[in-house]
Amino acid sequence: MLKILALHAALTLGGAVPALEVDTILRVSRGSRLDLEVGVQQARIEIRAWDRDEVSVQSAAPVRVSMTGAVVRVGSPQPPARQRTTYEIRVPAWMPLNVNGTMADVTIEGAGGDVSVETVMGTIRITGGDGRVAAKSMQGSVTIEGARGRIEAFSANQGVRISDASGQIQAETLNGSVRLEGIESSDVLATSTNGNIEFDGPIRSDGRYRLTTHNGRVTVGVQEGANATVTVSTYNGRYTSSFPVSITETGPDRRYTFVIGTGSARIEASSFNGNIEFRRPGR
Amino acid sequence: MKGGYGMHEEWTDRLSAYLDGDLPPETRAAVERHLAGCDACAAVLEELREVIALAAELGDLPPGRELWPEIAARVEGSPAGPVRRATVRPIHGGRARFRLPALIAASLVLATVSGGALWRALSRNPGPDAPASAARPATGAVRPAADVGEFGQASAAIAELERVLMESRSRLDSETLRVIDENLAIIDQAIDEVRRALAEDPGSAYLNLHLADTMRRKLQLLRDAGAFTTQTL
Repeated sequence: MLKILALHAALTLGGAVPALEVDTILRVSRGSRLDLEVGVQQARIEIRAWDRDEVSVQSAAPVRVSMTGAVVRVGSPQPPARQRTTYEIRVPAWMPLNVNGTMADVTIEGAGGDVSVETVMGTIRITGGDGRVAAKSMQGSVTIEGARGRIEAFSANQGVRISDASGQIQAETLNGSVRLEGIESSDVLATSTNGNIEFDGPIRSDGRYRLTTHNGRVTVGVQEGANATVTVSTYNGRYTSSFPVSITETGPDRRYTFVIGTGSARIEASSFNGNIEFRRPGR
Repeated sequence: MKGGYGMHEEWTDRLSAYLDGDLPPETRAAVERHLAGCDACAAVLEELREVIALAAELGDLPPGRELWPEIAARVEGSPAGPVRRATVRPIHGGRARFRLPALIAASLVLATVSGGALWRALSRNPGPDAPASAARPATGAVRPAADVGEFGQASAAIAELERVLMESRSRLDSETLRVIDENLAIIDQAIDEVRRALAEDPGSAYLNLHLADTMRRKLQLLRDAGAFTTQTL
């Protein structure tokens, strides 16, 4: 407790405060952000929002905590601990979060600001986020739920799932599926090399939706009453629709186009080797 | 949708000049009349505007992290030396003429410094056929990107990054290396399949764009791998 109080006192004076702690509370004001960098430390990182203007950092192993200006920095000790370390962090909901690790599983709950997470070997799960919400993992799944704003999700070797989100959506995998569910967006880009792509969300009249994979099935939910010009491209797959459509144009390179309603939105669905399926949402 | 396939080439060939303000008044008026009634050509024009705008915005962006600036410098033929900014040349400028392969090549180069913003714009291919028409150069014959070296700069960058990765493999842990190798193999197989398809159908806008997209992925994966090697130094 004495260490915590000392840190508080130093922060009040406005200085940079490096410390090696296992239990730290920092008082912060709006405009601050959290930078968490654990390097090659094997870690489980759990960040949860609360209604206090404080950052709480708890870890079973010593952790580096400092605050310079408006930036709270949390990092692993050097050299990193041999054992896997758990970081339990509480932050104000408004606080922008920036998390970087190599072998880190990251869970963020209740974020209300920008969120950026990058790990090499680890899963990422984000609930909330408002502004720019970005998550990238090489070998780990990425799940984003309830985010708003510009949402970017990438996983090289696992799946990406974005649900109940709104804003500009960009989801990408190399070897994994992309699932977009409950999406409210006029700008969706979902791509994969070796994975299925599934989109379920209202097609907005001014929207642009591009869903493309090399190996995999593309499934698009289109609600009744939607207005869209749909272009379908597949080289070795086939196209099906659970509702009647009328092909208006057939391109020379296995492209088909059909118009729904006024045709104002644009949907492009393509798979080199897979099938493309249009259906009503939720079916 | 207004406009049908095969009817746009004479118009899309003029869009670049239209944007440049190079058309005589009567031709300009004719283009505008056509645009008013043709969704496909209007969409191509919109794409070209986006590409030009993005290229202008991206021209001054700093390069990506880690190894890319040095590699970009080497690819461009500069002697090895101080790291410098990656440059953007292909379509920036008011007198550019647009062909699909050139746009794709440009998108690949720009994607490496922009995080794919231009690629996003290019990938918003709205019309069923317009890009294929836009791809036709003045001589009339479609020039497939893969066959005419339009990907030269990107291919050189990929080759250089592959060399860097080969030399740096020992710095990566076995699991990371496995994931990278596995995904590179998947991408290479995809590229191979698309190239074979392009050999049969060289004018396909879909296949050209898909090849560009897949190569961009390989480029990005190799850049990520390069970043991992520097992290572990």
